[in-house]
Amino acid sequence: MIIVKKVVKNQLLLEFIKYFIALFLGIIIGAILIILKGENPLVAYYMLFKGALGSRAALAQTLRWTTPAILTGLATAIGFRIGVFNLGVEGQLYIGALIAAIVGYAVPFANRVHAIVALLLGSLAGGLYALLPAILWMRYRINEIVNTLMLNYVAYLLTEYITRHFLMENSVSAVPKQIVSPEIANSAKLPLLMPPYQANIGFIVAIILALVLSYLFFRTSTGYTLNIIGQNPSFASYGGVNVRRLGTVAFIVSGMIGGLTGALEILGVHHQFAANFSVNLGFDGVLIALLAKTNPLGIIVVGFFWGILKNGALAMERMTSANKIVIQVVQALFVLFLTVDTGVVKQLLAKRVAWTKGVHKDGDAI
Amino acid sequence: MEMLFSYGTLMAGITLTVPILLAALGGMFADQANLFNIALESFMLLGAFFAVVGSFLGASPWLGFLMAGLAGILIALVFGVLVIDYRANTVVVGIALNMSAWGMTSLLLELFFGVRGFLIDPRIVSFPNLELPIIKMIPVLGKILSGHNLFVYITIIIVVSVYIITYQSKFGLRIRALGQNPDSLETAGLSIRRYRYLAVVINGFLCGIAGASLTLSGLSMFSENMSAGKGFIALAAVLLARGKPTLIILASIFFGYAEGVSIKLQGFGLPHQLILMTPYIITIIFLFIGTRKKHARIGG
Repeated sequence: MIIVKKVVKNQLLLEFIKYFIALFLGIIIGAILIILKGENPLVAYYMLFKGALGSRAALAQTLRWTTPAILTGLATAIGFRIGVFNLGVEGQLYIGALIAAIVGYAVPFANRVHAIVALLLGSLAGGLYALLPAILWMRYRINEIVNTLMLNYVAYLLTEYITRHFLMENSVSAVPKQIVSPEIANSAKLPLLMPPYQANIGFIVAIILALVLSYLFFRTSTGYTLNIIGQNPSFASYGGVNVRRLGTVAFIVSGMIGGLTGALEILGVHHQFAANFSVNLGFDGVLIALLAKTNPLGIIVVGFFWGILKNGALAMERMTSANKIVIQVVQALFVLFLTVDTGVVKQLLAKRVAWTKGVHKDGDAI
Repeated sequence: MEMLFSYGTLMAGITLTVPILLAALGGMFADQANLFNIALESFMLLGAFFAVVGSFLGASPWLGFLMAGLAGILIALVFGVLVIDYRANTVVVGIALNMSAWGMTSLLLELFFGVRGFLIDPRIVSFPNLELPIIKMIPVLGKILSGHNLFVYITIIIVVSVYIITYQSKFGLRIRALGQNPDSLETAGLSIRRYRYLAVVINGFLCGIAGASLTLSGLSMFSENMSAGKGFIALAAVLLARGKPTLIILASIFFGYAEGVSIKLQGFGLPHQLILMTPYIITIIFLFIGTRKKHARIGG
């Protein structure tokens, strides 16, 4: 019993060390890249954190970037729970964003109901966009990774097509030649958290959603069932769970959160749909969900970290000669180092514990 | 309508087929090793960048070609080590590699050349266009076959070699066995791990030079994230063809041609986006049909 406890404790420690080493290596390589550019990495990293947390404006902007990070993380995490790779969050986000923008400018409403309707329809559209890969996977067992990836590109092109040919006539863009929809009505704009900065009520929505999902995953029988589906679908099916139906619903909810993310981006920040406006927010979600091991509360933490990095990188680029894209490399390397399976280390550790307790036989330690 | 089959569209289609075809052939090898590789994009991007570096340094497109291939192999080995030896998830590694390749090439661009975003420099030498001596005299056909960039002909040679290797050599047989029944390799006393690595290396090389074809077949420039989804179109071709080089060639030509048509349409302000969608939609439809057939076979 004592050994079991010790191993569990050691494994937590091991996880912690693993994250620390992965992040540390990423930061070191980032530092080297900054040095090569002839800049002091300590100054650059200091500017990053100062730019992300150092003032009211900085914090507001960090929360603005934290919002989509948390939401896309949650969207992906729901899929991961049941063993589904929804790589289409990016596409669902685009569809949700476009629908929200259309409702935002074309449908006349006088009050705040406008924003709520736009958000709901945006997330519904995202959910519908996930319906096809969901059915193809749950019913016909056609690889959902491929279909969701392909549908991302269809979404990029479809939204660009619709915006260019049906919405663009009356719109004004700050950037010349950019393909944009008209600006949404004031009634559809989301309230700001710390005016005049971009952080908006979407952040609260993201936090509430994370808490709700956390409750669902860890405190309800549905969450337990989802987990079982993820680990062993046949077992769940044998136990009387309608795997296909629950899986489809979870997939669609994942898409709805993707759509909601897009709708929040438009109604809260951009106020008009622009073709190719989100670069890789959806893919960030995959990495965030993975780093947080699909735990919604963990996603809040990682999402906040992501927000710091994203916003801080911009500040770093303003204040120093370092390129903001260094941070993208650091993020990617962090995940790459983390993917390295520490099975070997685990074995060593288990053996060591067994050794100190004088237990040798395999399996006894765990 | 006539512009769909015009000479200009055809030539553009051929040029646009080259990177997709090379990358898809590369992806086929990873697919044979049962590695779902969505990092083709990053291999290509790295290749595109180092092709420019090589051509710039050596004033020769051949050095660029070589460096692109090596860069592709290098990043493919990173992929290989993580997914083969460390059993990391291919999709996660793929996403992270795509992100880092984008970042790395942009940073290296700034470091080596002191520019951001894109690089145009007369010292980057592309492959020349090639007039085929006798063939160009043939009416109609001569005009289509001759006058392409040298890279097009290199691609044809590579495609033919891959085809021959796949079907006529012991190595090709083993790679195919890897895809269909890996255990048979083990039974024959061969190392699965070794062949998976070989497949990954070939994948890296072909995707690397696919990247070179973006920068060195006349354009002579590099721009940030210039592979822009081509790796995913190549992946679509890989998934449609499932290890059959002939199908890879057909799918790539179709996708390249669709892109050529869409560029023409764009010139006329027509909805080119709808044409650009076809590779992705076709992939979804064909995967569906393919799976239905398989089920029907099992059922009957």
